[in-house]
Amino acid sequence: MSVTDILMIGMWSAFFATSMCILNSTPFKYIIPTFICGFAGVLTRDLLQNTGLSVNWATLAAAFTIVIIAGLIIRSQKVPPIVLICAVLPQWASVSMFQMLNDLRKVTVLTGDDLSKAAVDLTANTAMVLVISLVIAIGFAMGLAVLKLVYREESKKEKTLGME
Amino acid sequence: MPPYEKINSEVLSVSIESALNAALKVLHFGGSTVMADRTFRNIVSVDKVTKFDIMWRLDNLVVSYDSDGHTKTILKSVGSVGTNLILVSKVIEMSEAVRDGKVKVSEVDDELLKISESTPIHSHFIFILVAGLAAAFYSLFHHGSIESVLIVFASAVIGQTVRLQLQARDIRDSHITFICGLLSAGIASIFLHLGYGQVEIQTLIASLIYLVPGLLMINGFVDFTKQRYIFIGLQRMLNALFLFIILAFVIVTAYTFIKF
Repeated sequence: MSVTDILMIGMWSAFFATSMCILNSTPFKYIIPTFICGFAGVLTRDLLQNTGLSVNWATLAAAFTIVIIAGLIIRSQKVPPIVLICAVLPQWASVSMFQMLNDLRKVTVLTGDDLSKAAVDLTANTAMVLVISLVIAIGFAMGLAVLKLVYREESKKEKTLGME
Repeated sequence: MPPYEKINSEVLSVSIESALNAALKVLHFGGSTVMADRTFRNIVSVDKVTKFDIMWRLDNLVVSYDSDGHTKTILKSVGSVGTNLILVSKVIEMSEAVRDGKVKVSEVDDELLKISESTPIHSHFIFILVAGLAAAFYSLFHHGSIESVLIVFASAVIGQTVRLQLQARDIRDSHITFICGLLSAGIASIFLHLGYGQVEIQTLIASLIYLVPGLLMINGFVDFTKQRYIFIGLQRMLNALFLFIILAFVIVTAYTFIKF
């Protein structure tokens, strides 16, 4: 994929993430961070995939990048989940999720070779949904751990106030 | 002697009731349980109420506390859960103002009424337009053709218009998801059946992407990671899964129609 293609996809993804953010009536202050994080996430994933990294590792790195950038923009370790989720939505295996549910229907009605193919598709799509969701969760957890370290003064202050 | 026994029972009752109403509003507007709990604690902290038990559920909230040596229990229904994160942040800000002494506990219910009656930040037109744009951008980053983009934009706009009308009539979420999903995917599938756009599952997903219960899932995950809210988290996640299954059924039906 050329750099121009990656930038274009990154931009469409960022606009999609921002639209989902507005649809959820998110406060205005989080709309620009969502756009930036959505763009950075897809850019990271596609650039890493271009260098030969697998989609799973690239998605993990993208999820990590989203959290770090959101934390740096908002200047807090308490990044609103809505920003993270809307920004990562373009990377979620939505197509695999719906195809998985469709394959589930297929395996109940098909026979012979068609059944075998549907069963393989079902396994592949299920694995894709699970692994992508898992790597996103790991990327987020790693990012949040780093933010906690970066903004450790904030954590100490909250502990003193009994807010944690 | 626990601190709550020193508090006048009437003050205690007002404090707990007001805090519970505020927490209910947070859940009602689509906030996470962590936010609702924080709101509750901000308000009761004013009267130094520290000993109480709350059971967080998506259908009812139950609080029990001791007053004059008797255990009192309040049960309140959560009602329908909508999405308005701006109002969630307003309720939280109000609870912080109560904690900081800027607003009295007795004024909480009036403040909640004001927040509920405040004008929506976006008009219906914006919500309809943004639903169309979300569909169009989703299609674009899945390499959709211009025809596909226009089809999904129109389908989502029509679906969202009907959705807002149905939401105003207080119809259940699952029914709205089914009706609007069928409408949007139906419109898209008619165009695809006639030979316009790309016959791919992505096009159908894009047409009803605005119905994906993203916030419900987020809150479910957020709650699920905290041991205290595991039950309400599960309720939210199962609710989201149910809506996903409805959408999958709609997509499969529309896809079968296209291939017919």
